[in-house]
Amino acid sequence: MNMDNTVSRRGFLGQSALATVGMLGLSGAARAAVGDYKALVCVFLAGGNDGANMVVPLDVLRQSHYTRLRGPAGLALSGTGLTPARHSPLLTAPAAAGQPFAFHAAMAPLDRWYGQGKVAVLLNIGNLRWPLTKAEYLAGGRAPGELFSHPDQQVLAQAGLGTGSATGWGGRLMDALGVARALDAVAVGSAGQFVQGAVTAANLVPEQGGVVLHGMDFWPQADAAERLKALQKVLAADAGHRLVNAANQSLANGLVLASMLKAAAATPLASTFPATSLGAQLKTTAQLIATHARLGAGRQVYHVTLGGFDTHSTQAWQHGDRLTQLSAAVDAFQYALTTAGLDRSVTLFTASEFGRTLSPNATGTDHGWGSTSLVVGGAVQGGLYGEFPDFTLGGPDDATGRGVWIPQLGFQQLGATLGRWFGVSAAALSTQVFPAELDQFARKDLGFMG
Amino acid sequence: MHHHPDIRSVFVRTPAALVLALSVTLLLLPWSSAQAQAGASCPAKPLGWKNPFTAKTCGGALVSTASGQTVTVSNTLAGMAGWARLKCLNGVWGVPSTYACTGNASTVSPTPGVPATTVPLFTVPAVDAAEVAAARLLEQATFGPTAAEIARVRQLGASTWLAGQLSMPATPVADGGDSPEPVRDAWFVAMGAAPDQLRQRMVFALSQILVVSTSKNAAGRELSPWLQTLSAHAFGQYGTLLREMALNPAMGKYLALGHSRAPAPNEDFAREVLQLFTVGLVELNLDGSPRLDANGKSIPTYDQARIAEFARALSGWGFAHGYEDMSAPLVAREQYHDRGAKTLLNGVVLPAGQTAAQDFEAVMQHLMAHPNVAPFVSLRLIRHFVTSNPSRAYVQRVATVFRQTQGDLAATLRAILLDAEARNAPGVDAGHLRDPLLHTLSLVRVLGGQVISGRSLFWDYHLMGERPADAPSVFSFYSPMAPLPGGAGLAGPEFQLYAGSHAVRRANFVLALLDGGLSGSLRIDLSPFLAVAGHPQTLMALVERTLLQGRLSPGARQAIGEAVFKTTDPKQRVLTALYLTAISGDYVVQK
Repeated sequence: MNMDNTVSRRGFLGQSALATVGMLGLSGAARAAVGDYKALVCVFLAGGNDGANMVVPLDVLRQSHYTRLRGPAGLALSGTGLTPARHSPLLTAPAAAGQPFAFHAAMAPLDRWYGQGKVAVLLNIGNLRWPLTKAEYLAGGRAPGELFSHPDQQVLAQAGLGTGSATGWGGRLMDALGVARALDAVAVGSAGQFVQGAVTAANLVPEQGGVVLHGMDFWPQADAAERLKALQKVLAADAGHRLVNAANQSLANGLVLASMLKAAAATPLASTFPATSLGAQLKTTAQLIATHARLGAGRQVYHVTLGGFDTHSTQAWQHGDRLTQLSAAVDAFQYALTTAGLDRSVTLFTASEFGRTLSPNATGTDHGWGSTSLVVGGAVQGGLYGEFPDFTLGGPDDATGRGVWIPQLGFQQLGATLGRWFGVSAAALSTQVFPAELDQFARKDLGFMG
Repeated sequence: MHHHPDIRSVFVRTPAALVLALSVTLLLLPWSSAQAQAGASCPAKPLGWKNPFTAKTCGGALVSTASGQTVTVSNTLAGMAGWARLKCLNGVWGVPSTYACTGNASTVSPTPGVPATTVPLFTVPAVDAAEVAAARLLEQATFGPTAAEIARVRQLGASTWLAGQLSMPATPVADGGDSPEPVRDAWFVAMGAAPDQLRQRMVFALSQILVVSTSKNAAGRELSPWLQTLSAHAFGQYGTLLREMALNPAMGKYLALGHSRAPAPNEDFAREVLQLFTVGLVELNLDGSPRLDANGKSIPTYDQARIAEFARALSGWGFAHGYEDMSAPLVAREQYHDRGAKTLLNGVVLPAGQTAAQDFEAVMQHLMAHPNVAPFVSLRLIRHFVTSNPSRAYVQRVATVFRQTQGDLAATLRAILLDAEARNAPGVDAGHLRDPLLHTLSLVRVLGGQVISGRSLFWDYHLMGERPADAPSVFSFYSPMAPLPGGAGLAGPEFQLYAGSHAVRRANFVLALLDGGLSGSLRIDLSPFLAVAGHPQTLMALVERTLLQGRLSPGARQAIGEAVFKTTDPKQRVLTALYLTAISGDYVVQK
């Protein structure tokens, strides 16, 4: 038999990742659906980020509650604990009143990006099924289930749906656009439901980026080369069975991913990334983005994780440390992309499963609900969106009496705003990406993407 | 031409499939006298190593041999250097210093200008149909065939073998303590090695429908009640399983029914029992397809208001002896039960004034009587055991049995596994992708290996997307409804765990397993393969017969065989054959 004549080849395994990646599952029609390159990066702050100490309101009323409640635990930031005060109109609030605020001092690098108009601060955002008043909350049944449970609330935040889903809203954006190539949904470091779609399969890449197929490097090299060549033939052969072919395609995609990561690792970036886990994750992400952006039009979603936000004790040190890590890594990421001319093509945002109680315990805080998200990128319209919760314990925003804020913004709204920027139609956002929930919100576009 | 019976190769030229049997014997002259000691035995070092050798000596043709007096040469193209592989010669290992050709080498020179390779022809191993059929049943009904179990199925027949499995005592599930790892590990070992394989497979299937996970139930004691209930009712009535699982303390924690109190009852369990355990989101026909209204649209089974009513009906259950007590089923606390009337699906009303237990029983009967339950459960089990894309008729046959037996899971399993669509030769695109556990455990089993412990492997399984008992959410590791990537309407649920990066991880795990790197956990013995590594065709036939009973695609067989042939080290030959076969689509997809 003649291998070359009897074995049909699907031809996706070339020598160069750059030469082949464009063929990975992206038809010409699908490619035409988007005319440029864009990427979304979710930085998930695992454990429940204390939004109240990430961005601190400086109006007199809230300051008095904040200082009185958090001072005794050493958790009231002031003076050098904060960046210099800023002032912004509340861009989505009905009253559109001005609001003084400051960032945690550990976030000075992000404060500088804010000063350039590249950071949107989303206030009191969290998991909701639909807009919720305190009266409705107290009447029961309308809040998301298992409110203070990490795993449950992480699923909801990543799903972007208050009733949960097996998929994430980033993956569903890719499904809706129909332009996902095999390597366009990537979780770096640890798994992230955010990038998992129904059709779009989530890749998982180590934080340092290395994905290597073992067993292809042994002595003598000529024999190893024969093994790899045989594998490539196996993966390229049409087995006459669509599941078998799809399985072979998956492993072939993995080989391309491996070589692409190798090429990406050699991609020079303008930044020196901090020697932290998040720094490594965002460096790998930036390198993959820079590599893919050169391939032309397309869409990608990424997920990275920073843990350690479950600050039940010694929060003052721990939260500051985590925000330092976050700011330094995002600063390096943003600088690298800006220098590469990609900052308008890439938008990064933070999310967490919940916020924390305004009322502390001895040295920390407990599980809350609404928190603060940041959206960073060259296409972002900086400023404050939404409103700080009323800091009165037991007040109109407090679900439990300890400063557990009923969110006034849902992750559906964050997702829909970014989804529109990504190129997903309003209809698809309402029916495919955030079915049955987005339409419950009067404001489907928060406006921070222009 | 000189022909030697042990020397065979196939000389392939293009364009015609001209096959030329060829044999050239290469004599070795002379051995150094120090090495050529009569009667010495060869040390137990690898069966050969390589020595640069100019193949021009023999006109560029392949030279192959199997016995002691000669040198095996492979991968020889015209005008190119080849490699000599040495064997035990006259009782010693040695490097030849001189080569000479015998035979008429010039007759085998390739046609100038025509690319030519010299490769043996790898043919499908001789396997009888009964062996394939037995292996296929075991792939569907167990964590992978073993030689002994294949023989048993051949002796008993599918139906009797199934009956034996259905009546086999259950491997006990021990009570867990603080750490989840002993429970996780015992379950892993049972899946890989317990004799009650069908029950283990059914527990695995049901664990992905009625999910509990260490992502929330972090203690072993918060897992074992769940596994005990799954095991106890794996072949029982689905309605009984559902009732016991609803009040199981592990589930009571995971979906928080144990914390559900009127007047604001927790909706988690109510939502998931509807969406994931019984009826699903849309009304179904008996064949599993969605029922459509007059406008051709699917019909939702319930809305949020209905979930709230179910939550009220199921309110008032709490842990038996203190906070999240795992020692006993949930108990009713009437003061937390909403005694108002509730409206369930299709207008069914539970009257006011019923106790928690009365409402609970009414809800369970109501759910089990819903026409969706039979196709809903049947489709999930068919996808787990047999194929991602069953015909509608197959689903309807199984769902009919489920319905007629009021959810008898043993009868349903018999219907699934003895159906013509499972037992006849697989149809177009039949089968399903093996998930990480099925893929790796079946490989150990089919190689006659031992499943010793999973403890040091669970991080790897996590990275492959499937650490046992650690589903990321109540939606399990992957959606049973997920489409095949690029599959034009086909389903391919397990592909959600097989993105490119995951496929590479899976392959690396397989290689580590084959290469002995996991031998403290999963131990296999390559010696039967090493014993025939000197004969590429024999080795390939043994590998293919063992793993796939002759079901490797011709293109894959020839490509892998060629690499085996061109590899010189016996261990690497064995690894090439096993590794590439075990990560090929033909093996990863259970057909």
